[in-house]
Amino acid sequence: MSDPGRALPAWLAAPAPLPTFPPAGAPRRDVLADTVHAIAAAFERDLVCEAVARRPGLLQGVDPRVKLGTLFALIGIVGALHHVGPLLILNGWLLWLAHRSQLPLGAFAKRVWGAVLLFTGTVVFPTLFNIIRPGTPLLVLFHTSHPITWGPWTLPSDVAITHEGVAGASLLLLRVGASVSLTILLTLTTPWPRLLQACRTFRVPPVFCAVLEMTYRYLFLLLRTSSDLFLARRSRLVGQVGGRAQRRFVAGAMASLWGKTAALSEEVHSAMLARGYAGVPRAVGQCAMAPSDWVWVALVGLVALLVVGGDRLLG
Amino acid sequence: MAESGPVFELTQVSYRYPDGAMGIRDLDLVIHARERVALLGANGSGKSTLLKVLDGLLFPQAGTVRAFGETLQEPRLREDGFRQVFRRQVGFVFQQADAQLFSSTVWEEIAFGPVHLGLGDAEVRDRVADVLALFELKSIQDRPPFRLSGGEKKKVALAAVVATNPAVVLLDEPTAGLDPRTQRGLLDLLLRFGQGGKTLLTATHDLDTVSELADRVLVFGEDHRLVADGPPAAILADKDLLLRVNLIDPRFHTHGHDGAHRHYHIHN
Amino acid sequence: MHIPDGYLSPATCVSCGVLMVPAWVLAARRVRTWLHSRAVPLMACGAAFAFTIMLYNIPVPGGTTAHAVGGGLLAVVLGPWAALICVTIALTIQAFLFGDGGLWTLAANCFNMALVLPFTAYAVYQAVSGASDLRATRRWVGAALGGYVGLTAAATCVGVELGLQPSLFHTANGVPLYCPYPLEIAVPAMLVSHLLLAGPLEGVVTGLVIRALQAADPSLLDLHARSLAPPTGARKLWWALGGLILLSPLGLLARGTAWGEWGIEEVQQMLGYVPAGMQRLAGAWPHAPFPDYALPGMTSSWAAALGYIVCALVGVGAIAALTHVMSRCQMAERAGRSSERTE
Repeated sequence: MSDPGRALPAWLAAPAPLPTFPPAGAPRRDVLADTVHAIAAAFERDLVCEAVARRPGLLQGVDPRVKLGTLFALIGIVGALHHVGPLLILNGWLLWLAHRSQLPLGAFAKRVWGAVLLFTGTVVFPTLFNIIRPGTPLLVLFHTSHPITWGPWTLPSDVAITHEGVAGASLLLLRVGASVSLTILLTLTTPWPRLLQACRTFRVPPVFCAVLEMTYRYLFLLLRTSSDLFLARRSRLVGQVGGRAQRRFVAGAMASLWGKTAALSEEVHSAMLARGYAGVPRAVGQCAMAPSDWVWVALVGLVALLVVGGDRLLG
Repeated sequence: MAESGPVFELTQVSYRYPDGAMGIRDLDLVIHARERVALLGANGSGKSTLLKVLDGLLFPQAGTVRAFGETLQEPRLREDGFRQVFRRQVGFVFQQADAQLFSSTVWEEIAFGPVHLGLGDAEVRDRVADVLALFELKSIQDRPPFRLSGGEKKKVALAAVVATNPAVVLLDEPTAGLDPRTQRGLLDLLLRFGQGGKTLLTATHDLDTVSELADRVLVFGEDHRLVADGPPAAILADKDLLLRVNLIDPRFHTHGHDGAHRHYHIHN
Repeated sequence: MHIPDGYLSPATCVSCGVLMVPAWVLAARRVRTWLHSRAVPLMACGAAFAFTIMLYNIPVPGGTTAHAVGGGLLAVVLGPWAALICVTIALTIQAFLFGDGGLWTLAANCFNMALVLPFTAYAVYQAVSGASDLRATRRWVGAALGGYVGLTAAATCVGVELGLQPSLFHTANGVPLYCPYPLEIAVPAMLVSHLLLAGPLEGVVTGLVIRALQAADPSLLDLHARSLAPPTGARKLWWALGGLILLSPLGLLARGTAWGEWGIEEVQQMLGYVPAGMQRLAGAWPHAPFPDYALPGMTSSWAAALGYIVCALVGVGAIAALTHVMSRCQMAERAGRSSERTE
């Protein structure tokens, strides 16, 4: 520690004048802040799920292992449907499930269908037209005198929205929507630690289950460390920084995080050894299923039968 | 394992870290059952290293370590039988709570020790319920560790260690960074364990809690050697010693009653 | 690069699962042998690390940001087998808890980002840096190249998986049931965007991080040296087999049909009639999944080449699996016999 008698350097000892701020100008986008926001969003998601998982709804009462198994199977059923009708019915039933599980329907629908229409809709939009794939026209948009060829791609003379295009797009949109709904229903109504513990039942090797649960535990620690790193950088940044320097910072942040991660894993290992761990993860056996769980399985089975049966009947 | 006799016996033990840093140097030490010992010393003087050596996590390059009459060596600790008995007898509360709480919820954390030491499912559940009640942790039993406050983390860490009912509890800076009320709660718990017959070794540089926590104080110097060994009253009154090992600064002073302490006041 | 649910058929998802299970089992075994009791904490922290760096926004020229996957980085630092496990766990957490990537498509995403990406990146890294000093320039250049090539290879696989859907899975009228883009669009689209944008970014980030680690603590780059089995003679044979698989489309250049392998139409042309026995038996097995070594529904020449490679992989995989099962039975029988003898 420095000798308390030594004088401070002049620039440190001089009293700082009051700052004068320049007039308002164009704000420059702070790219590094996006990472901080993304991390904060991850924390928020966990908290929201915790809150919803506590409500006394239909899905909250189902055992997490049963939920995981049935909802996972339902995603497979979604993949096996070939017609728009049964997919619509299934999506409707999922909305009803969300309502019965005390999820705010407006927010749920917006979260699922907003995202699906935005992302999947954008991806699938070009397939509506017979530019990508020829088909029977549903609505002719415009008409050129002859087909235009450009390398391996040809633009047909009648550019139109096709039946097949609309059918394929709607199938994909409904499928993705149903799958996303099922995943959100699963994660919102189950506390995350219990969801990951449910993997133990499905014959996943104990090492994988142990790693999965521990990853969840340390995920948020590393996220917080990263957030602090980025925030500290932001608070120390005085001038403008170009993309290259920012990339260098991000890479440096990753390297520093790796150093901390490696050190953390050593400490965790010591702590595990001190409590009797010897390399074989063990866990307490899980409770038996309740009658309500069997009712739920029966309900899901019924819905699946109806929907797939209807699908096969339609052709 | 020997019924009577010392719990720990160290003979000329030296440990140096792989990166070259010194841990402990030429240590001779005997700890008996039911003793409450405080390890005092500035940061880096070797207190944490000693605790890890006693817990069979670090193995010294020189000297021998005997615990409960058996020599502690790495191959011996890899034998299932010896390991299970030893780990059940000795518990370690680490300084960094985040490394120590590695399970996905508080319940799982407390259950980890009993489960890995071979207890049956029903017994594990009962144990965990008892420990949760004792530490008043029932309300947060399903919470993941990253959502616990600093004080809650330390409590859970101690609870997880106590769940295996060890005869010896090693603590590394248990009260560091805690607010006064939480610190008081933790100290009371430790006192109860001490009265219950457990051997406690606490590494700390917080002089205020030493006389409560310990009947015997070991002082480590910055040269990584054991410098003093005696009752708290005598050690804490020896101001020259404390200054020499960098445990107090020159402005520290005591008032004319038992026990050295620091408190806030203004001299006009 | 994460494929959401709904874009791949259940059959494709299950096939990817079948491919991944032996990879996971082998990776778990390798990592346990290397790390013993350190496996669980190191893999967990590694997976948490992988997840975290996938969230980092990295500025790209043009003003936008992108994300790195980090599979190449983990492969260089922890070895490809450990990287497989860490990325698998990170993808699992992303799919289950954050909705990034589907649940049924998890195996396919793992195949792309946990298998193809780290192994390709590691192979390139080893080829470039060899046994050079831990602080050498070749190390981080190799890592950067590895990240680039690895990500592009993974992107190609994504393109193939998506592009195969319309031709393999469609209704009677040709409406695509899952991803609607055929191979001719999906693969070039993935390739172009990754060759030009995401690939270089992954490479640059991987290289920069390795360089930073070289400066901070080079020993971190050597953690996995003992995790890889020493190269045996069999390894060279596998490489040779891989080369032969890639060269198999050369057969397409040969015109006509080999002697004695004619179909009924060719026999009719050559002889003017078809022998009765041949007529009866010609359609005896109509269930071949890959008739004439071609992927069903595709006729363009490079799709035919791809068909040859896919068929070669399927055939080699089937033979390897059968051989493995037979050798296991043999070993069990031998062990049983020897224990009988000792009793």
